[in-house]
Amino acid sequence: MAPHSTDRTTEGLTFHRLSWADFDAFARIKGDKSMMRRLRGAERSRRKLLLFALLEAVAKTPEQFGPLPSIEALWELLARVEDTSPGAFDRLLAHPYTGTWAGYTTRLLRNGFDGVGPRWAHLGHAHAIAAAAAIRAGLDFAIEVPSWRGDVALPSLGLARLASSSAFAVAEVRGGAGDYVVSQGGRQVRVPRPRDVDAPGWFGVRRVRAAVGRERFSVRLDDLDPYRGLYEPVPAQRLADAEFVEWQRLLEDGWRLLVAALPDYAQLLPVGLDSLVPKPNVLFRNPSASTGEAFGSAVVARPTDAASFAATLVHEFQHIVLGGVLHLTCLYDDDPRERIYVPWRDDPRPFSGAFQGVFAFYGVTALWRTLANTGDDRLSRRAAFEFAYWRKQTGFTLDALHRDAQLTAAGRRFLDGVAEVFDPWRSERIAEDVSELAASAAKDHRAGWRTRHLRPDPDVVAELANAWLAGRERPPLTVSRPDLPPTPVPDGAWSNARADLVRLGLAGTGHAELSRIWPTVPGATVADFAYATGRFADAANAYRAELTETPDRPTSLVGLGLALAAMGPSPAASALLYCPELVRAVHRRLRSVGRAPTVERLASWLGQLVSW
Amino acid sequence: MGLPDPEQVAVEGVDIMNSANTEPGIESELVELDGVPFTRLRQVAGELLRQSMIGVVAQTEQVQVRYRSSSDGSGERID
Repeated sequence: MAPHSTDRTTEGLTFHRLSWADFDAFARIKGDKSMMRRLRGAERSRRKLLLFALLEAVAKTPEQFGPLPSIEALWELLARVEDTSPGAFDRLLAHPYTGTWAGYTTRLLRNGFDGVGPRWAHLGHAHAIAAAAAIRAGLDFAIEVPSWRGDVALPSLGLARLASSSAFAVAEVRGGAGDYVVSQGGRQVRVPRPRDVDAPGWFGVRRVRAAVGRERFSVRLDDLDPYRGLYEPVPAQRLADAEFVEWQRLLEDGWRLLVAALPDYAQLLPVGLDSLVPKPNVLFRNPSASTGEAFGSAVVARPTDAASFAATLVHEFQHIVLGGVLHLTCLYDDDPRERIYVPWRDDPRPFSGAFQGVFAFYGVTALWRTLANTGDDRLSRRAAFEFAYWRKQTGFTLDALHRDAQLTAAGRRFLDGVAEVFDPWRSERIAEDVSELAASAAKDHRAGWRTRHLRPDPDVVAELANAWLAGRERPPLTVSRPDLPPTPVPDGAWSNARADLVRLGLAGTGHAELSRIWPTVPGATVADFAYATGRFADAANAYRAELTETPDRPTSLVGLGLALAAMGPSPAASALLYCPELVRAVHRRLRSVGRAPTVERLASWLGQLVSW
Repeated sequence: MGLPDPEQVAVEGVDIMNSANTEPGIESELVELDGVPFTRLRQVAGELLRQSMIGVVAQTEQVQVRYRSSSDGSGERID
């Protein structure tokens, strides 16, 4: 954070400020449109600086533009755009993938690594940005731009496909008075009006739109921009028309849910979310991701349903907000160690990732909390489960971060604000059966994480194994529960099939339907199906059989613990759910000397030490 | 649907951005350029702008390559 100084205005410039009022409101999910606009303004300043730095670097070694026009030609076109239509250039600056491109190309230049294709093609994307801005401004102009596999991307507008055989080449954009042509080697593509429709050789960037009363939301579905990915450039991947229609339907339904559930929050989305990068649906998953450089965008797999889409929109919007705040202030010191349990991934995460995730799932928890009271029985029950699950899990990681020394003073204040809103949710009443399901699902994931990422102290393991071999009735009291740092390398694979089946059951799928579809859930076993349908004795037997076959399998170890726990208090269940890594490590050691009991018997013995 | 064409309305935030308020708060290292045309930066590029630019570039250089664009994402961020 910079100190206050009057020197800072000697050039007629000031610094972006984030008022404490805005800061605290963002932490409490109480932002308003003007706050989002201030974040957007800061992002435009940031991109101007990055673009300026890139062009200055090229100016020192002009040959970096390769076969493309000189930097002076580029400056000249940009100046004409700004003189004629400043808003046209601002639109390109606000385009999320201008940020991704600027970041990627900056690293390409500064860090000296090889990118996808020649460097001039990346630097030359500045020409494509200028061309797109000039088209928006309605200028008479001509400029050469890079093409990739015959595709010429005009950011925010669309893509001309010229069917060139060259991986990277030069094309020309030329025209005036609203009529423009992209050409290369005798082939031409006319840019249609309006630009967002398809025409021969042209793919327009399409939008999906939704409206509920006065609340309107429109977002680009960008499957064309080469810098729309999370990091390096990716080729265009046109979404099939039927998929596009499905996205449109999902947005309409998801927006309706979101406006009904969080009306104040929904007003912010049109200000901060411009563009979605569509990806194919992933069975039983709703993956999405984003990067701080693409402020205003998220990569999203086609959601399963409207409620999932609404949750994804909130999730990614939270990331966008936090990304904007982090560009203005430091909330935590850098710490790359992958050491924190997070419920949304199966591996330990560094502090920054855990912080981002907590803020995103805090928003998601808020959404499910409200959806749980919609009056729609089917949605309410599912939403109640998700609310119970995410408040428990997000709260767990929120508490861990809140205690962490990596937080700056501003970061601590931010989490104080989060906790002020979040903490009262922890005691809100939820139907007991749903609450128990959520608690078990949380134990399932945490125990799986412990099994694969915690390595018990070898001395402790040896002491316990020796005590067992000596026939002691109880484990030695000197042995305490291990609390070693996690290792990012997993010991064994994990399957989320059990949680998927539980969710399918909650989504209204009856047991008969579940018995038909469970084999299609990736990784699901007979034991998982029995557990998800409440046949806990059957589930325990099936997990025992799995462990006889593969005693190390994390999902079976935890599954047996869950099934036993569902039937009543049990030392074996306690050990398998709260220190499964220790059960497995001691069992391995006993197997190595040829004197291993069943996993369950050993867990019962070790469980005498577990008190929770 | 009868919605206004978003391409025809003003870019959100342009010309209404005003962070130069006097409320105490966090002063960032990011110089405010919203009112400055990009192509004029060559004329106004003094020490203040350069320092801010160096900071932004340094921050950008440090972004880690943890994920690839071709991956399906894992619900997390690159920052």
